[in-house]
Amino acid sequence: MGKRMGYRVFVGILALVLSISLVGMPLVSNVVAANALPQMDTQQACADAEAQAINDISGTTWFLIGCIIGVLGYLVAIAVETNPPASALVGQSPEYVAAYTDCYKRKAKEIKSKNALYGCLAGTGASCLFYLLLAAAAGSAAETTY
Amino acid sequence: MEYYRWLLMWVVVGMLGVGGNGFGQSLDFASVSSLPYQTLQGSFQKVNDRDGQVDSSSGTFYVKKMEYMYLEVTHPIHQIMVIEGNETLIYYPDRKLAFRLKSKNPVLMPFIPQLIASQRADIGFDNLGLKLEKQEFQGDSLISYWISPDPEKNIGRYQMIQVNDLPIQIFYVSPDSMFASKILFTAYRQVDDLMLPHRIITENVSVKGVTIERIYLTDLKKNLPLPPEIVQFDLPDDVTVEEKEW
Repeated sequence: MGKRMGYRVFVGILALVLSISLVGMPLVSNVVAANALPQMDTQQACADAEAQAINDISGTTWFLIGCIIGVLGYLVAIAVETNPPASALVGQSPEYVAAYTDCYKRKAKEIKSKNALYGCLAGTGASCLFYLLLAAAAGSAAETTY
Repeated sequence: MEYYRWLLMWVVVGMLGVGGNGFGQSLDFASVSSLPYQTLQGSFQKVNDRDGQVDSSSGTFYVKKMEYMYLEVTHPIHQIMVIEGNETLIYYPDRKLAFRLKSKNPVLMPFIPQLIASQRADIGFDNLGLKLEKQEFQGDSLISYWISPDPEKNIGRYQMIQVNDLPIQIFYVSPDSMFASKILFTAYRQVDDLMLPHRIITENVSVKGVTIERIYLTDLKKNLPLPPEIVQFDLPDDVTVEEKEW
């Protein structure tokens, strides 16, 4: 009798566990998926925004700006904003829009400031080299005179 | 007038995706004297394909000149986008959430510049300072080749194909051949006194991959008065607004 009762309890618990698994798991997985979706949106948004920024902004131009106007060019690169076409945000979720705008702005600033800095350094280096060569030429001219 | 300058820059620099090559800034943009409409409205479907990953959105749009655009997306998400001057409002009615994006420059409206460009005989190349190198007929297609007026300045190769005076294809290859873009204007239909393309396909190919944007337009109507709730769109009071600057 006791054995039979135990068996029934075991089957009952097993049925309950199975029911919870069958009904509950899809719910849990839906919740997990719902949480994962904005995460995926965010990653995709950032990748899209960075690709767009690379496409929109000319590193060469900012390198030349840095090269020509030096530190000022670097400061301008940090200050100047660029905006992409709004079509990139059509039909996208709020998470995507938030991530896209942030990532685009960050990447655009990075491309501009990095290239302007390289330009600034290259310009400064070229100027130093020029003055060194000038000094060397002047020195050798002076030695020849003596 | 400033909008038209931006429009032209978008047409040749943005749409062709060549801004990264840096020559766009150096060109002297002339202005377009007039727009072919006062208002324009219709339905759209936008399909993006990024290396085989496809997503689509659809809805309706209303445009007043190049000053104001109201765009309502109904699929895959309910989204209202209002573009006016340097500001873009993106509103999610179901989430009671909105973004107000402020830009330093006028915002480029989705797919409207392509429509306007299709109404120009030279798509805007002439205004951008490009020089017509040569033209030739192949069957009923007129193919024109455009270059920089400065022979020492290589800004890439531009080619346009027209049939019956309507541009049907623009092709661009960057100077280093690392980027190519093709825009197809098809399904031309009469809208009032205009012949407007109802399908615009942009394909960009670079070392980073291939992206294809397909725009399908339907029910285009020109110069109809826009509904007051569209022209004077106001956010409900209970909406959380997040402000962002580009």
